[in-house]
Amino acid sequence: MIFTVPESQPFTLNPSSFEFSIAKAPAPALSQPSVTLFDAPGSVMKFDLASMIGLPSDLNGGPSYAITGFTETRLASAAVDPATGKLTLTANDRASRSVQDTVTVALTDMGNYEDCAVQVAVSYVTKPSATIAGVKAATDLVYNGEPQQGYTGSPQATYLSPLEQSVRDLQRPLCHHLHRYCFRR
Amino acid sequence: MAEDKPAYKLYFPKHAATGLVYNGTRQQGYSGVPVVKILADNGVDEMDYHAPLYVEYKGINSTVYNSPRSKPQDMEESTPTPPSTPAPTG
Repeated sequence: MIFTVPESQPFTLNPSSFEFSIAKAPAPALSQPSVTLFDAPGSVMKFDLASMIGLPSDLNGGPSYAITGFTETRLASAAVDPATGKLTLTANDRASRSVQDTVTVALTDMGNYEDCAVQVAVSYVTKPSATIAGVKAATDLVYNGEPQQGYTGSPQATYLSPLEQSVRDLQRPLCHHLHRYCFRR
Repeated sequence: MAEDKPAYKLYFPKHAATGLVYNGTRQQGYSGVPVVKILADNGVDEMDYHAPLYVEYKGINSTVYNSPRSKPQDMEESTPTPPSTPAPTG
């Protein structure tokens, strides 16, 4: 801080300044998030870690994210974008299922707060089977040299979401393949 | 010209504040009422000069901060403007 007097005053100040510093506040108390991965080999899911941990709004820069460790019971890899905190988790190909893994993410370089870490609890659920409805197999089809659909109606699929414990409609369009068929003689 | 003027010491605050920790609010960086001892017209006696006396803040140790010049806390017609979110310098 620098003290001064108006230019009109017949004197100056010397010394006129002091230096002081303000230490960082202690590490903020962050939420320790839980995420769920599908219990399937190679299952990859991404999470917006930055939005899940309750960061203070007055960080004054940062944080930088880094994985500092993770258990590998059912987890093949864990990666985080240093700048955005986007967390990518990949399940391994082990047959056995575990209850939970843990990923530790360090947060550093915050302007107003000391470094800290969050532990992400990772659990696994079986990928649900969807039930298709709304279609009937086509009948009375006759070969005409063109692909034929083989069903009528609009296929819809529902599944029990293991993450939300509710019945959900499959939002993405169902893929189907049209084939040419011919009769054996 | 400033170099032609006598220079007097700032008596209070004597020292910058220490042990400050970021708490999300403005922190003044000193305590006490700023006062300058100046010579009286007789050239012998000392008088206390209180006002106007301005204070401004600049960042040190790579901290980027520059405040507008304002009068310190003891000035009745003004309010202090220490750093609002000073980055620590440690």
